[in-house]
Amino acid sequence: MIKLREVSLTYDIGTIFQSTALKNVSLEIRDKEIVSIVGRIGSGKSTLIQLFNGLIPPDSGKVIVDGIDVNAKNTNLKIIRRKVGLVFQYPEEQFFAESVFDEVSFGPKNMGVSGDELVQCVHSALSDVGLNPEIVSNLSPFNLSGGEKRRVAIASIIAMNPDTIVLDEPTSGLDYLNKKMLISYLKRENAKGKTLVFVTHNMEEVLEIADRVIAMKNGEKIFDGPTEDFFFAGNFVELAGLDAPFLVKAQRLMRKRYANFPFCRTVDEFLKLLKEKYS
Amino acid sequence: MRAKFALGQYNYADSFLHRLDPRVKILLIFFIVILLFFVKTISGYLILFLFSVFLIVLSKSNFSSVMRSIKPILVLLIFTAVFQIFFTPGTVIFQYKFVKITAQGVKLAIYISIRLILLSFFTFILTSTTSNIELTDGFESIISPLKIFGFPAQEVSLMISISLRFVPVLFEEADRIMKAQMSRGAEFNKGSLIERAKSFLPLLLPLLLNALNRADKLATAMEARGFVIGQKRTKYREMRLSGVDFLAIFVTILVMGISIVVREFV
Ligand SMILES: Nc1ncnc2c1ncn2[C@@H]1O[C@H](COP(=O)(O)OP(=O)(O)OP(=O)(O)O)[C@@H](O)[C@H]1O
Ligand SMILES: [Mg+2]
Repeated sequence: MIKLREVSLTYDIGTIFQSTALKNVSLEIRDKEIVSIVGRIGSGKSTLIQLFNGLIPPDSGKVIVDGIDVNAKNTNLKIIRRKVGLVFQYPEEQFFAESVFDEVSFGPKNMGVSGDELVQCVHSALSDVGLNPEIVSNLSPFNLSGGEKRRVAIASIIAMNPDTIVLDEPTSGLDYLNKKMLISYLKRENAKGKTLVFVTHNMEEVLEIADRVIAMKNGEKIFDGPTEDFFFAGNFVELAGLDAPFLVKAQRLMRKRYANFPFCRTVDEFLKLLKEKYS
Repeated sequence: MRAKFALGQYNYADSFLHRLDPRVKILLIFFIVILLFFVKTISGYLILFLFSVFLIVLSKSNFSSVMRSIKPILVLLIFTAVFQIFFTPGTVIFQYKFVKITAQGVKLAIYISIRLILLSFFTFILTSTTSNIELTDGFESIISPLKIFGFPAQEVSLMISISLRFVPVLFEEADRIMKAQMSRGAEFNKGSLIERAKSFLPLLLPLLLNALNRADKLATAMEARGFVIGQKRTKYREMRLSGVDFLAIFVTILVMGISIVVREFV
C-alpha cells in the first residue's frame, strides 16, 4: 500500500528552469490493484512515480509505503525499493551486463539474494515475461530484439520480487504484437497478487486492464476513480487533455441508445456483445 | 537537477555587457587574465578589483552567484597560499621549531590569492554575460585566421559547441540511469574504494553506449541536412562590431594601462 499525502514538488527552485511538477497531490495505491496514471506530456506522471520508491523526496507532504515514511531520516531505502519495483521509460537503455542472466540478477543480488535462490528467481522472472531462461540466459542483452530487450528489463525488476510493480510507459516504442504480449504478462503478474501501477499514453491499455485511473494535469490530480467512470461518467478524458479511443466513443454512443449497455474493455468483447445482444 | 547541470553560469538578462560582441569580450577578458600575472602592485590589483566589481554590477548578476563561482577554486586557493607561506625562502618573520614563515612567503600567498580570485571574477563576467553559442561562435571567429597554417578551426569549434550542447544532456541521462539502477538496489558511494569503482560500472557503461548511439544519430542527421565539414557555412547570428564595442575596448585598455603603471601607495 502506497500513500501520498499532500505532496508538492518543484524542480530547480529559484532558477529560470524552475518548474512545478506536483501540486498538493494525495492518493492511495491499494494492494493488488491495477492503477493507470494518465495525463499529457509534462503533467508530472514520471515525477509522481519516482516518489513511490524514494528516488526523489517531495518538497512538502508525505510518502508512506506499508506504513513506513519513505523520506524519514532512518528509513532504509533498499527495503522500500524491494517493495516497490520501478521500471523506467526505455529501461533497456540501462543495460550494462554481458549476459541476460547477469542483467536480471543485478537487482536481486543487490538485495542480498545468492546461490540457487538467485538462479531460481532470475529464471522465474524470465519465464514470467515469456522468455525461455535456458535459451536467453547466456545471450548478450544488447543483441536481443527491441521487444525482448524490454521484457528482459522488466524481468530485472520482477526478479526482485516486489509487491508493487510500477512502470513508466512500458509499451512505448514497441510494435502492436509486443504491446499486446507485454500487457498480458503484466495482467498475469497482477493475477499472481502483485499491485500494478503503470503510466501510459495509450488509452486502449487503460481501458483494457486498469481497475482505477489517476489523471494528472499540470501537476495536479484531476481524476481518481474507477476506469469505467473515467471514460463514461462525464468527460474526464477530454478534461485531462487526452483523446478517448474509438472503443470508448462507440460505447458512449451505444449507452446513449441503451442506458444499461455493459462496460466493455476490449474490441472483441464489444463486437461479441453487439452480435449477440444488440444486432 | 536540470539547472545544476546546465553548463556555465549564463545569466539570462539583458545588460550592456550582454550586448557586446562576444569576440570583443573574449579577447578583452583574455588579455586581462594575462595582465593579472604582470601587475606587480597592490594598488594595481585594487584598480582591477574595482573594475571587476563595476562590471559585475553592470552585468546585472547577483553577488551570490559570483560567490558560488569562486567556490570550486577555494580549495586550490587555500592549498597554494599555505604552500607559499611555508615554503618560500626569505627573511623569517615567525618561527616555531621547524615551521618558518617568511615575509616573501606571505607576500606571495597574498598575490596568488588575489590573482586567483580576480581570475574567477573576470571569467565569471565573461561566462555570465555570454551564452555558450556566442562563446563558440566568437571563439571560432577568433581562431579562424589560423586556418592559413592548416589549423582545423571550424572542426575544433564544432567539437566544442557539440560538447557544450550535450554536456547537460549527458548529466540528465546520468541522473536517470543512476535512479534506474538505484531502483534495482544499486548503491553508489558505499563500501571500499574498489567496491565503489565497481558500483559505477552500471552507470558508466550505459552512459557511454547511449552517448555513442547518440553521436551516430547526430552524424546522420547532420549529413542528411547537408552538412559538409570544411565547407563555408552561413551564420544565423552575424557578429558585427559597433560603437559600444569600441567604447568597451577603450575603457578596458585604459584600466589595464593604469593598473600596470600605477605606483604602490604604501
Ligand atoms: N529532472 C528534472 N529536472 C527539472 N525539471 C524536470 C525534471 N524532470 C521533469 N521536470 C519537469 O517537471 C514537469 C513534469 O515532468 P514529468 O517528467 O513528471 O512529466 P510526465 O508527465 O512524465 O511527462 P511525459 O509524458 O513527457 O513523460 C515538466 O515540466 C518537466 O519539464
Ligand atoms: Mg514521463
